[in-house]
Amino acid sequence: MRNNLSTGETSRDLPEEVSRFAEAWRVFKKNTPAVWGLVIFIAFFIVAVAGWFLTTGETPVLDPAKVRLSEKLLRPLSPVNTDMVEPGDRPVFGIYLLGTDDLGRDVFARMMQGAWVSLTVGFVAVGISVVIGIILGGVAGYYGRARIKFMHVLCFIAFFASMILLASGRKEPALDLFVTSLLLATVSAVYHYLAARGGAGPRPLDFLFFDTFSVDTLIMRFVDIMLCFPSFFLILTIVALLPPNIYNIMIVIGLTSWMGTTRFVRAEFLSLREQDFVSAAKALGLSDISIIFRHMMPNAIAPVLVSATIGIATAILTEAGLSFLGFGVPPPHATWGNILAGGERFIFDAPWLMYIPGFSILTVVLSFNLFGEGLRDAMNPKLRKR
Amino acid sequence: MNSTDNILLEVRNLRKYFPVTSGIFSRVISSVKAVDNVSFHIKPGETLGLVGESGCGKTTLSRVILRLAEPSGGEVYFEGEDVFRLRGDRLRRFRKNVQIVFQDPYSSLNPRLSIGSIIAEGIGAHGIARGGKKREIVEGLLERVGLSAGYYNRYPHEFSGGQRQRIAIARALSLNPKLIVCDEPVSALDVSIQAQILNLLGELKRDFNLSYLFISHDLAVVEHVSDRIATMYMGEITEIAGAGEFYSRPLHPYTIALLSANLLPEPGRKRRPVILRGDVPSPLDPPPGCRFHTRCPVAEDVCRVKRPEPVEVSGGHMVRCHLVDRKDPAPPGFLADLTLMLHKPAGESGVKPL
Amino acid sequence: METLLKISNLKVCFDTDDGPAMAVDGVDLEIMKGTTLGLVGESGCGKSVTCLSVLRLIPSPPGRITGGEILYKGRNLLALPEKDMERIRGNDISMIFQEPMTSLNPVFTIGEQIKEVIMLHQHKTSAEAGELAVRILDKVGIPSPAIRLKSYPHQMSGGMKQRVMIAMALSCNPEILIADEPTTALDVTIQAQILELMQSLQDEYGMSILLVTHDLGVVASMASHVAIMYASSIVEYGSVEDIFGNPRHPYTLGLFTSIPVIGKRGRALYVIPGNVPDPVSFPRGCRFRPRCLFAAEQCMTQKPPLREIRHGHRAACHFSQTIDKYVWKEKTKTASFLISDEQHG
Repeated sequence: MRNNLSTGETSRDLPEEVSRFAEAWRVFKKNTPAVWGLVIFIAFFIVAVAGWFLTTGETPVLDPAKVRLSEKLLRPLSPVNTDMVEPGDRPVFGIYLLGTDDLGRDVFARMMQGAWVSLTVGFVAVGISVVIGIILGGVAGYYGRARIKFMHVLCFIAFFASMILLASGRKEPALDLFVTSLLLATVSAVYHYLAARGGAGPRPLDFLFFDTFSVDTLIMRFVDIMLCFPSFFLILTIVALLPPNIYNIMIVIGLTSWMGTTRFVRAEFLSLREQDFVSAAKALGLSDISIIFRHMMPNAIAPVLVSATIGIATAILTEAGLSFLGFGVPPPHATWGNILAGGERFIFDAPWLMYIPGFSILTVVLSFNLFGEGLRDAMNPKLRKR
Repeated sequence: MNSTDNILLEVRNLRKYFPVTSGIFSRVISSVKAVDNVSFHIKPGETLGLVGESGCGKTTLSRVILRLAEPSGGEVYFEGEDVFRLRGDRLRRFRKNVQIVFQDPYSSLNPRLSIGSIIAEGIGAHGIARGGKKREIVEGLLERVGLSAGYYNRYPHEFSGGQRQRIAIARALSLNPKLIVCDEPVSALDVSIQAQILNLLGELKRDFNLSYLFISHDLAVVEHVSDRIATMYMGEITEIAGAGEFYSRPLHPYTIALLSANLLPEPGRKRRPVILRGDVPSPLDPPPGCRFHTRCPVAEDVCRVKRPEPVEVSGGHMVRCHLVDRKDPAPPGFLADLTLMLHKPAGESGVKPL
Repeated sequence: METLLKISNLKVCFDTDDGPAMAVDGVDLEIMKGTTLGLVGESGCGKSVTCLSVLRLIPSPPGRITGGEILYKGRNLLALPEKDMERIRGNDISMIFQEPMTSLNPVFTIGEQIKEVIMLHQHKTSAEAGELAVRILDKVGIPSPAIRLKSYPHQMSGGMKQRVMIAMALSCNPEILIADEPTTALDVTIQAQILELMQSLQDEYGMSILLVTHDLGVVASMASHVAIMYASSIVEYGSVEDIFGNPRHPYTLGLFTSIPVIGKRGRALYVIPGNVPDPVSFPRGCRFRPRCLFAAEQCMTQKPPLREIRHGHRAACHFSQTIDKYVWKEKTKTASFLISDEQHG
């Protein structure tokens, strides 16, 4: 082989290898509020998991539901009155770390239980919204330009109408419509199969297959409609109709908060699709699947995770708000929101009943936001040195 | 036209129109003709240079040829096969044979993948090699483009623009293609790095018997690397000629204008008077007749009404201009007398446009 | 000829995560009245930072001017109070940038933007400023300027916007126009129009131009003097005939032989090996040494000063007395750095 001198050998001066993670951590570390956010994030995580272990089971270490009427509205750090309380009902260490409420329940135990509720609500709700957001946003961003054919719209309308009729109990017309939609689906499948086999020129059913709106239009207008609802009141309405339990709350919060992620992922995909490395991957003959999951998703996911961190804070806040209004997780299960609501009546007699959950919510939400913003800066390659 | 077996790539009347839409249902109201009836061919081992100003459609043309965008009409034949009808295995073989190098070395490499996996990707997807053998091929390619094989596990952000362009070239080479489309491969690079990449492309062409479709806005670069040169203006090819003839005997007024606007790094030669006034018209509203007539210093009445058809002047020299048969063949060192040849009064004040 | 602007030993430092980067390190330049000085270099060599320091527009932090002086009509610009400096910017020295697309504010009409500059520096009413704006736009070749005053930047093409930028820069009759890559973002045919405009305006008003570019063709056709910059320092300075006709620094020689020139097809391109050094850690001694064909022992230890070779022609190389284009030709021939000609045969 010829020497490489004529093309300028460049293999000597490359700086030390630095991993992307180390690079991001270096930027993140400098952002003091974000580091504090991360510390509190981790502490909260540990407390919540510990709370779940300590407050569940047959004989929990910390019993959040134990009522001791003689011990009501005690200040934080009050020792237990050993004369009145049975040895088995006493809190650990014989002390009420955060005082007691109007029923003499240990606020520390209740806060621990509530931490787990907040954590799971935050993570599950955001998990649901991120999954929906990535799928819808990804489809809108990658396949958005595809037009939906008139026939497909017909098919879809027939199917949905049949489902609605079925739900409202009118079985006969529902069945008719369902069969119609199946028929339409079969016709279009045959049409597309014949079209794919080749042969240009008009086909007999062409008039039914003209282009209507695009996939992108469909998804993004749906997002717009969802954004029109004031989401807290939408959640209130839905929760009022459903049996109140923690899982319904998670699902409802998740189902009403995916729009931001969808818009985000769509925008990322639209810009990534125009990137040359995606074109290069197509030119190399890679499949759509490999382009989406190997080339586009990893580049779109980092900002989504950042917004998810902030989304968790929002979900925790929403849950606390619902519980405060009495629509959240039903008593006797403790959450930070219903501790706050319970303390409201004793704001002058036992102010710690409001301060403790209120301050906890503030700290956790603030730390998640700070951490999320620090993460965004650290992940942003523009802020990094090349 | 030569017989098909001696032609690697043939483009016939290729068109690409972008619809202009409006309203929430995206109604199509008009279209931008980014590529309009373009025809040319490339022979094996040949470099065709394509010059044009920004927005003339040269990048769109390359993407349509590579099947990265759907054409609106026309055909592309690669080794005699109709590219737009390829499916399955034959499409994969086409992908293997035709590769691309992009302008921006920062967006053409996936920042999340290591250099090794970027180059190895095509090799894996086409089942050429696996495991250790694959790595061996990639390391060989890295060394061939002037990088160290030890960079296999490094990431794109650690490299400079020139090095990234080498990586992109190694990726294009990985499938052992016959044709590489180079879309402004040196425009984003510094002068000294530009020479490295141009020389590398030249060496690879000889060693691997490659053909290039070399797209650039820089006439000097195109002239340096190409065997034949085509100019493009508002989606049309205005002139194609062999590189020597392109320089010594340009016939289209746009080619002459481009040549005259290109500044030589020689202080003795004073700048030639500006030939072209005004801007490129909006592609949304292209002028009737010859697309170039609004800026053409020698336009006549016929140019404003009738679209000129391409005329073959001599072997392989094609011009799309009404006036071409009326011009005398240019004398050899004509560049000094450009304005004279174009019947334009010299020394006109440059401050006001026509 | 009268020296209008004299930069001596200018040093600008940028604080980066990896330590201080010397973006400009001991630059000396002179601009004569009514002439054009071309400042040539690759990206990151410090040419834009030099320009910005003249107007004291270095973003700080991270940038700091750490030494030297910039004398304009006998006054040191680096020592002036900010208030006086504001009067000089746009009035005595104005600047146009590479990207005409981002240099204009998209929410104001171009008329408002030009009038703002005029009213800031000259005591004129809005109506007077408007009249002046029309005259200037007409001057820079914008058709129907009175109507154009009401257009927004997005309604104009790149070439038109650059004309507007030039109009704004010239609205107060500056003594010096700093043009930082004014035509790099434009097509060649538009570039030709803009350069011609700058030339004719210079002929008419007699202002000096500091033209920053990486395009040797642009410099050759516009400048009377040329400074070549490499790794934050000037490596060669002289009249345009000296620099292009008799280059004496190996970097200049390498640069000239590495660009393709139209009409010289088949000439092999020389390649300057390696990459531009990082301003955080420049090599010791001569900064061009790792990429230089003539590097010797001496170059390892001593940074060569910018020394006069002949009247007005200076180069920063220990061997500039002996190196010239003939020596260069011999050297590059024997070093087999070039592609053989058969490639183009």
